[in-house]
Amino acid sequence: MAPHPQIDRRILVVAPTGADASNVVRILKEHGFEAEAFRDISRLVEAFIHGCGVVLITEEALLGKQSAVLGNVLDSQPKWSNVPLVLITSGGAEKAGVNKRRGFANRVPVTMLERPLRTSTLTSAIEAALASREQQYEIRDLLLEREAILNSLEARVTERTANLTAMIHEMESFSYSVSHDLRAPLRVIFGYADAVLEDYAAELPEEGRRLLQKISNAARRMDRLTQDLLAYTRVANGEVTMEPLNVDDIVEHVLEGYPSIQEARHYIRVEKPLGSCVGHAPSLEQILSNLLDNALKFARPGVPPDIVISSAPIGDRLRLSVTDRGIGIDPKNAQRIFGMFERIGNEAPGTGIGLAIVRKCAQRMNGKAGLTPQAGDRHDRTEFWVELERNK
Amino acid sequence: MNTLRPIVLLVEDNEEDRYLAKRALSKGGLKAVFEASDGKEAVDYLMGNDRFSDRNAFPLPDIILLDLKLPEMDGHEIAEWIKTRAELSSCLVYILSSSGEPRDRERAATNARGYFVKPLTVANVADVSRAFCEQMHLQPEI
Repeated sequence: MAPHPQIDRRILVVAPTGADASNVVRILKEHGFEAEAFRDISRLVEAFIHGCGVVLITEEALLGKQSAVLGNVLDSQPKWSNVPLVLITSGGAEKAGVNKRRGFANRVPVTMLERPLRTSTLTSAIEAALASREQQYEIRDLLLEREAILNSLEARVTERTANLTAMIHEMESFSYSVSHDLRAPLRVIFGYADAVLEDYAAELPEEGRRLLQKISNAARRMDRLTQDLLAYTRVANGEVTMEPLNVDDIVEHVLEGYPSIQEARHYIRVEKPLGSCVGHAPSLEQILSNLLDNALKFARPGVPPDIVISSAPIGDRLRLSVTDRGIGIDPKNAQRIFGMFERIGNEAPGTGIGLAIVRKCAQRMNGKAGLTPQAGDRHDRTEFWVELERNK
Repeated sequence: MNTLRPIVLLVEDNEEDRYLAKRALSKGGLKAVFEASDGKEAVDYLMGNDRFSDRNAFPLPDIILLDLKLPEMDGHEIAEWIKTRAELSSCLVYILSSSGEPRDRERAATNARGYFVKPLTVANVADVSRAFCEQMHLQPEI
């Protein structure tokens, strides 16, 4: 119901007999009030629903079933509304009037006026009733305001959720399209370059073969970059559900499930038991496979890789480490190396995304990743670690 | 010993990818009996519709290599359709995809025997041959 000053302050007068109604309305109008007369309560209903400041009613109007009708009308009000009732009773019929009052006082504020009525008594009673009604309007306006704010908030939440959903959907179809369409020309470049190298090697001068090999390598590298970037996007945006994980099982799964790691299994020692943590199994597998891939990739030339997977509790966290004796990392690069596209040197293999994926996976599991160069008492070891919540 | 070679149907719309797949097949000792360039043509071939009605010229394949992104019907849809055809129940279906997208792999896992990320390699072809031999209870030829 929107605020409307004239309707808000009008007085609905119900009096079935004689000139009561019109007299009261006339007096009220003379004193600057808005007032309308009704012969009985049923006729009041429509105006009441529309809104009013006070209902002024004579005792005679409440005879018989009319009292119940008024009760229903009053019950139909919105929560904030308690239309003040001014009840005019005849002198000597005080008891009846008290009973009537009791019937309504638990619903609305009731003021009783006894005949014969003095104009000043009537107008001051009406003014007091309107003042009480005014306070109800303030509450109504606040409620309306609150409702409007809630509605607009709700609309904004709905809109933003829809936008976010659309954006996620767009991102997904973008990366899907990248993984399918962007890689197709690369495949043609290295596929055909390799085909020429294999089928026509004898007819090509050495320099020609060298250049073709460069084309093939560069296209493959770009292909790997694309795949790693997509893996990173998946890790960064994918759903992560946390659960207790048996780290020994996860490690076993990685050692068995990744062909490049499985081949090198005899270089990898696992210090069991590794314990249990709270995490997301696919993310932890991704971390371990990336760290093991790195440890194998960056082995010291001519020296077989020597890799240890171990764990240690640190407070309420579990630190899971992959330690190698590879080419090592200059301590000053220790922080930089987890960044996107960071590599130790231009000659190093890899795309520079693997460790960024490790860090992102750890972060998504509320953990962290790091590295300790020159770990332990032997200065030729590099320890890459992730810390996750320990499962107690 | 036995010189039975599997009949291969290659479904691939991209000319370059088709070349690379055929090259890997031939290096691995196989040859595609037919190359369909869209989903509908693949289904027509498998159904023996119209120009494919002569089963001597267009025999039912033992192995179907399916690209994923195809005009008309994509590879997933074809693989799902093949699963519903009793006469094709012995076909070994392999998905050839540009990507290793987990959702593609998952969907393929229920409808196909295997999933290869393009380009098809000689090692992939060896896998396919081995699966065919196992199915036919043959010793693989080395």
